[in-house]
Amino acid sequence: MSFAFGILLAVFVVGSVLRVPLAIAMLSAGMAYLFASGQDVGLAADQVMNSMYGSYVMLAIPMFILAANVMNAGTISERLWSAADVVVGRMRGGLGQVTVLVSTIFSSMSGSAITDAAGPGLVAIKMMRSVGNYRPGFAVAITAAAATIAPIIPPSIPMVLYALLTGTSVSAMFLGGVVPGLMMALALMATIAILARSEGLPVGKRMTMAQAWQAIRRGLLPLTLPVVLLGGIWSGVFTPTEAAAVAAFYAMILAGVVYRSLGWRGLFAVFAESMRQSAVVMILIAGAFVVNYAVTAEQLAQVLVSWIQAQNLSALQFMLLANLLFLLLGCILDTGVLLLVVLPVLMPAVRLLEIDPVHFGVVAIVNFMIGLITPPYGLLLFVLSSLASVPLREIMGQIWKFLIPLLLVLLLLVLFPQLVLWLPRLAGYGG
Amino acid sequence: MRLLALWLARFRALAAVVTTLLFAAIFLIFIYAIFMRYVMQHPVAWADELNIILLLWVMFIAGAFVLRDKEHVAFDIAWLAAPPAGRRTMGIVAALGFGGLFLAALPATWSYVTFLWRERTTVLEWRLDLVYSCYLVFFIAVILRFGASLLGLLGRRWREKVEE
Repeated sequence: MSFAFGILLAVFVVGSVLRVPLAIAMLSAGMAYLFASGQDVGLAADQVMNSMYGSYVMLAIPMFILAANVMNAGTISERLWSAADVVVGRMRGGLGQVTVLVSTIFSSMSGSAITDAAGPGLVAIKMMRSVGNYRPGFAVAITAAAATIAPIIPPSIPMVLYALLTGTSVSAMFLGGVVPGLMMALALMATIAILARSEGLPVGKRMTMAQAWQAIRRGLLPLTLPVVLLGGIWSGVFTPTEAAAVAAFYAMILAGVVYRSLGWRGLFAVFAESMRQSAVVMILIAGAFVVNYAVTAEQLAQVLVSWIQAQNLSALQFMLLANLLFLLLGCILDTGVLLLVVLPVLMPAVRLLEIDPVHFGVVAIVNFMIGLITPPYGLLLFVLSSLASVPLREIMGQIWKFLIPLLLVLLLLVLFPQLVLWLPRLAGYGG
Repeated sequence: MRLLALWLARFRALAAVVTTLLFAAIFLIFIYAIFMRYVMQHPVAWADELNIILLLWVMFIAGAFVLRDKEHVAFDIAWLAAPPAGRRTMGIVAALGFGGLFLAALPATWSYVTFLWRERTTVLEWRLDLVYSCYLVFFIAVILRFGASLLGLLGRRWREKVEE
């Protein structure tokens, strides 16, 4: 590691501590690196603009953000909630089960944990607290844990980014996330069932057949969205990027024309909000491109590869080590930084050890999503704490109960690559 | 000074509307391109390129004028734990250090972008220096915003600035 790279790290750490936006801190760190190594600082602009300009797949990100926001604004979350309530609501701890089920269904329409938390997640917290009398910290912890499923079950913004950075197929990544996502949902539901008695969770209310049918019917139409979305991608009718726009279009028709719950004014607000969220994400990616230039120039990945060769690490040992590293870094680093900066350093080693890039990618993203709910730095905890006005301390006291099942799923995924790769291979993915 | 603040607020509101409309345009172009390909059997070649250019403009113009500082992802544990005077110091150091770094990098960034005047985009054949100029706008806005935050923190009403 050179002196210039030391400067880069120092600038980034100082910037982060001083609450400089991470994107600006990364841009600054990259430019400081260029200054310190005597290169042309204009290279930073070159990296940002040419990398962004050349990445057409990236357009999927703003469109997936748009689709999720349309669904949130168009009462689709509420409709899914009442339908899921019919299915699992009557059990002890039923509202918790409904939360996980709704999050899982919503996952197949949205690709970001934050939108999942902000949409159906907030509905869930409100219901658990008002109807079920759940302790606030516990209700938020269930919701935060359930929201981590969103980017695992396709579509998924982190998976698009991973595919972009590593040249992996987006469709294969999407298929690879299905089984792991369902496993996470089952693990969380089992945990709630186990905890239901000791936490004193109430039993849900009974419904008449007519009420149940009514609720299911209300939720039926939104369920066609994932069929259109995923069916379109897997059959090759649209690219993942176009599918994102189609999903947004479909949700607009549902919300605006069928349910009449979204007018022009509401639609403009949805576009405005999606634009802001997209700009935040894209600028973060721009910053990461500059840091990645330095990481590549320093040949850190080659250093890692020769270290692995010297240690004679097996693929499994490397996977375990990488996951331990991700979990530790996930406690303190932003997911975007992990995905955009740390992950590319490991990719040459992944290729060297002949680990399937889809397996590695899905496992890494599950790991990063767990990182979103591990204290002290867990973005989902922060977002939900502020949206639901529950103190962070109360949430952190409960969240570990749901970290354990998610970590168990992660371990299973590391040990058994087939869990990830079975479905993509069924659809003809080689590798 | 109050007039300046008023004009600034109006300008930001305008920028927010414009970037929102451009964002909506990206969505409409997607739908149009899919429609043309499958229904009219007549794919449009310019859609992808125009969309990525629009996205670049939306993100950098929004980043320059629309987004508030606290909308960005930032690590705020140290900030939240710091007393008002500590926050003031942190803000001043950040503005001087990071604003200064951007200022120092401005000439090289400027000449990189303006040097592209002879290159053109592949399909639409637009001048690349104009297409990429949104990055310069963003870059200069970052410097000005650090400058404004520095003035605010050095001024008499700095306490209001660290309460945000």
